[in-house]
Amino acid sequence: MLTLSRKTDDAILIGTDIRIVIKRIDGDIVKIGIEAPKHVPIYREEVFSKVSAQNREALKKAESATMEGRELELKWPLPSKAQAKIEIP
Amino acid sequence: MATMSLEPEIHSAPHSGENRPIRLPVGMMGLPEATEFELLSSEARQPIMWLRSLGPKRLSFPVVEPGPLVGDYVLELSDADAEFLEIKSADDNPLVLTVLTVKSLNPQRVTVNLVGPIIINRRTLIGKQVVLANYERYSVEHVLIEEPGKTSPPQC
Repeated sequence: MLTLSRKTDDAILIGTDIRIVIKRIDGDIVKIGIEAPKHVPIYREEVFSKVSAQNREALKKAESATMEGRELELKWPLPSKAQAKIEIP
Repeated sequence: MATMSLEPEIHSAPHSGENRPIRLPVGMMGLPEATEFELLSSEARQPIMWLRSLGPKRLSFPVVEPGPLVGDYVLELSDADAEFLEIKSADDNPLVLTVLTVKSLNPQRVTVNLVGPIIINRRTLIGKQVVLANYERYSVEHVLIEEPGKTSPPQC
């Protein structure tokens, strides 16, 4: 792994269209700014890993449930009736 | 920040049979190869729908719209995701799907992933599995249904 030393406000370029800026250093917390093309998704690694693992688990469980010859059918209705909301900045 | 309620109905989805596929340009997280999907739903199987990839290797995700099923679910999109999805205001009313994990059918134990919902622009049919900006409030395994387990008879 390439390791570089940077100060606050210093930046790193990955290729020519991804730019990473060190915004602030405070103890063991680093604030990082990232500029990247919009088709490049950016994730916190541990959250990405969790969601990826859950996607695979969902596929596997659905496959094994339907392979047993059972249609995937759940007993409804569910007790919860509350609505979800979406917020857009 | 705009807030809106999702309609608690499940007929609003773009159904299979329409010619245009749903495009997830970066794929599902961890599974980037499949980028074109169809959404299969039927009255009989409500509210489960299947988000199934087109192409040689089919991936079929069971999904539900969380609106009527999950209490107090507030989705905050990052600026980057809102821009990617071309969702500018609450009027854009995107389709929200959450992936089901069927832990077991008997007893029934089913969870939904509230951290990484799939948001689809109904106009462009371009979508993305996002990580919510407020992901820390939610679980990837939010319990949707849990039946008490059947206790096995004591062994002699």
